[in-house]
Amino acid sequence: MLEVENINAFYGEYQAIHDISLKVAEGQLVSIFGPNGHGKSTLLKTICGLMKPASGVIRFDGHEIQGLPSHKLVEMGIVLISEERHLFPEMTVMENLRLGAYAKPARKKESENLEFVFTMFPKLKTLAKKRALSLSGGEARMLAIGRGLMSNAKFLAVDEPSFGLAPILRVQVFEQIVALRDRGLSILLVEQTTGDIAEMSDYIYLLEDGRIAFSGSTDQALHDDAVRKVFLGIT
Amino acid sequence: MKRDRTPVAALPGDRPKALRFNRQNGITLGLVVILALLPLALGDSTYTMRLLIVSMIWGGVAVAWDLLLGYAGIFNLGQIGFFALGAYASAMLSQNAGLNPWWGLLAGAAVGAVLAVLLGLPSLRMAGIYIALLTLAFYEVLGPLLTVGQAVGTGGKRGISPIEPYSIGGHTLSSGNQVPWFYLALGLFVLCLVVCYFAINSRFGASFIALHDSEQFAQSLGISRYKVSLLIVAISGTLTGLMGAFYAHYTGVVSPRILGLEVFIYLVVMVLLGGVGKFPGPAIGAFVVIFVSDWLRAFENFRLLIFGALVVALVMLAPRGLMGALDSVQGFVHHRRGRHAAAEAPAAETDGPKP
Amino acid sequence: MREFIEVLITGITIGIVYFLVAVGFTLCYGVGRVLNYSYGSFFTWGAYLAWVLAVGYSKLNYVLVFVIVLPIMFFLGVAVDQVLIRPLRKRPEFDFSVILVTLGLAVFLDNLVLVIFGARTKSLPEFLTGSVKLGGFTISWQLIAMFIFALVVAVVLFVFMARTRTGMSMRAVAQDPTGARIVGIPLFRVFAVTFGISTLLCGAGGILLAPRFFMTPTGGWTFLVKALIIVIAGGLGSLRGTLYASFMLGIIEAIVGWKLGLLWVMPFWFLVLFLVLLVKPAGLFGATARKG
Repeated sequence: MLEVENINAFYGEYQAIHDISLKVAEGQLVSIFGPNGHGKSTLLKTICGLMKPASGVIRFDGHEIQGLPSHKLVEMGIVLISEERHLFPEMTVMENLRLGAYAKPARKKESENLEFVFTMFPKLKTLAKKRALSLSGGEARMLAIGRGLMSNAKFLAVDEPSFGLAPILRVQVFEQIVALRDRGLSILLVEQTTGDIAEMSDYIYLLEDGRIAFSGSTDQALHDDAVRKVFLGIT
Repeated sequence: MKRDRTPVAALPGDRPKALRFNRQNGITLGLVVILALLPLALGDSTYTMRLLIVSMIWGGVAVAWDLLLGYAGIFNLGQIGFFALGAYASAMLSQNAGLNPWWGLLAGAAVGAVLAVLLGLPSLRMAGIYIALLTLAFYEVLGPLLTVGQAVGTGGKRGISPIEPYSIGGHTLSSGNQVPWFYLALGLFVLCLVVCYFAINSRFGASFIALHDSEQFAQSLGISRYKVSLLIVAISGTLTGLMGAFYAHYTGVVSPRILGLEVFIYLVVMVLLGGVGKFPGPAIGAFVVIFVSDWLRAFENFRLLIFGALVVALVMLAPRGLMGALDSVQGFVHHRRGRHAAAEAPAAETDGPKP
Repeated sequence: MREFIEVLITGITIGIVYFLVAVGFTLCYGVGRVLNYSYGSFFTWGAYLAWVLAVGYSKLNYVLVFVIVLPIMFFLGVAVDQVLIRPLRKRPEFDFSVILVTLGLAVFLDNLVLVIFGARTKSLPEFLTGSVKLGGFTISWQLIAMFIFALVVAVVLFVFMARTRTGMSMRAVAQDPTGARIVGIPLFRVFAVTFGISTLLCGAGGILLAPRFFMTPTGGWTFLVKALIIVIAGGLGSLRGTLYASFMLGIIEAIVGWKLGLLWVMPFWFLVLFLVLLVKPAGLFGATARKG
């Protein structure tokens, strides 16, 4: 489904990611772990067209997509759920969700997707008329995910969905992401360090200093001593 | 519109960079020397002398404006307001109060400074974009204000004319002999160049350039954006008001027409053409603009059309102006040399991450 | 007293037209971060285009004039955005470049008018002549027509912004450009449409106000500055602030013009702006003016 080959990306002079290659097969949940500031967000932004790679190839369903504008990618079904959320603060929850279905393919399925989002996050339904800026951290996170789901995504890039959430909410969010995978979505997820989601992933990459430090199936990762200690925090 | 980076290197303990020979002061010195010798060559070509004098007046204003635009990053669009009020102050003191015109230079400078600070006090606390809005509003309102200000002696729509010229040792300067005017203008022009040069190349200059580059970094050094900006605005306003005062007595007329669009756009082209943040480019831009504009006199109605299009073209195609073009040439030469060096030591280049 | 109320009615009517002009300016900044200094020239162009259709080269009905001129203004705006503004967006000093490029464009457009139409002032006839007596007050039909036209445009604008997908996407871009990209809104298209709507509103203002003021090739600058003052006083990017400031300043204009003459209007506006900024440095409804 998604193939990344040798991409490099820069912020001005600073190279944030080096020669990264990775793959996400259809229906897989692939997780990338790594400390803060080591290029995880940059990688997702580059895949989703918010940043342009300096070199390298990104393929989606066989088409080369690197350098395409983000709205084209959203139309193809590549959707980012950003760690910074990027909600529209002055608009209501409902308006935010409806804007999630801005892309043409998503418009037809707007009401269907809305229903799905509301079954997944019933709380959002009760908040529908509230402005986004008045939401709590957890509610805003739900809205960000819900808005992403409105886009009729085939491929979700999820940036630290658990960031700043209470432990109980974290587990809930992870379960929902796994549920999305089980519905057939392909998901590329990024986290700083955590055990729970690692076990539910199909494949794991570790990112260090903008380079891939380890890649392997979940079993391999969980049995690799160095990986367990340093990144997964399991002893 | 990148600025020259040299001044940032003015660290404490360094020998004053400002006094070392470099491209900035080299070009400036060359320009001034050529100008100082020109009257010998031109003899009594009054017409060319006039154009040169006007060029020097606006050249001084252009570098003072560029101090704000190009170096301090303050989008002041009311610069001509300082100029006009400096001119009015000097003209009113000599015509309405009967003061010796020389005092007017002081008055013009003072009015420019006070006005700049008054305008700076509210607007510098705001984001850059607000400064551009507020100062343009100020500039545009000034014309109507001077027109309705007839009661305080602005002369209304017709302005003030004639204005007494300067006199030196009992001799009144006349328009028949431009040479004394020329050297007076040159003196003021050099003053503007020197003040701006040292403002840019002093430790103080390093502080406000640092502010432009990274406010956070500058603040960590204990530099207050507000105070530094106010000071730089005051310097720019002083020089501009001074030039305005001289202009009033040189031309013998001031009227709200000085606030017209024509003058404004000329000033914009001077700075853009010379290079924003490329001292002394804007001063050179002034000479080019004044002479080209004179040359285009025959096209009366089309002149501004051309200048408007020129501004658009410069911003779109050559945002770094003449001095920027010079940079590119130098950069090209350096690049060629650099390649030779790299060929000798290929291992020197690394592409590791930079902190 | 009766005269005062008639002046007040005039003020409110001018206020709503100023609102159209100022809201176009603030929209362009709020959505596209463009301070459009050629805005006054678009005002002039709107008025001159209307003059060409209604007076100079044919005698079209005003409704038709609107129907023809407004789309022209829209596409003119889109073209300017695509050709001049879009290439600048890559630059680090975008704000600064935009100010200069639109200044240059303004001088170019104004002088194009001068070259084509000459320096002599022109005037548009009133839309309607005569007046009507309402409860003891005399109100000219012209004023009523102006009010209705402006109100219709304002209501259409509000509905457009609140209900349509394009309007919503414009608000989205204004509130979070990155968020807008994430949901798949094509930024450059929204910028272009916004610029088009902005120039359309400005042109509409030009047509509506032309019968009241004489038209000159550089007359638009006054309206750029009026838009600036309204927008600063109301708070840059705030629709509500723009609305209040427009009415406040429109009424002040009517009263000052009536008591002292039109020449005093701008000095008074500036005075009011100064007072507003003394109390609220970011304007009536602005929150983001201060740099912290």
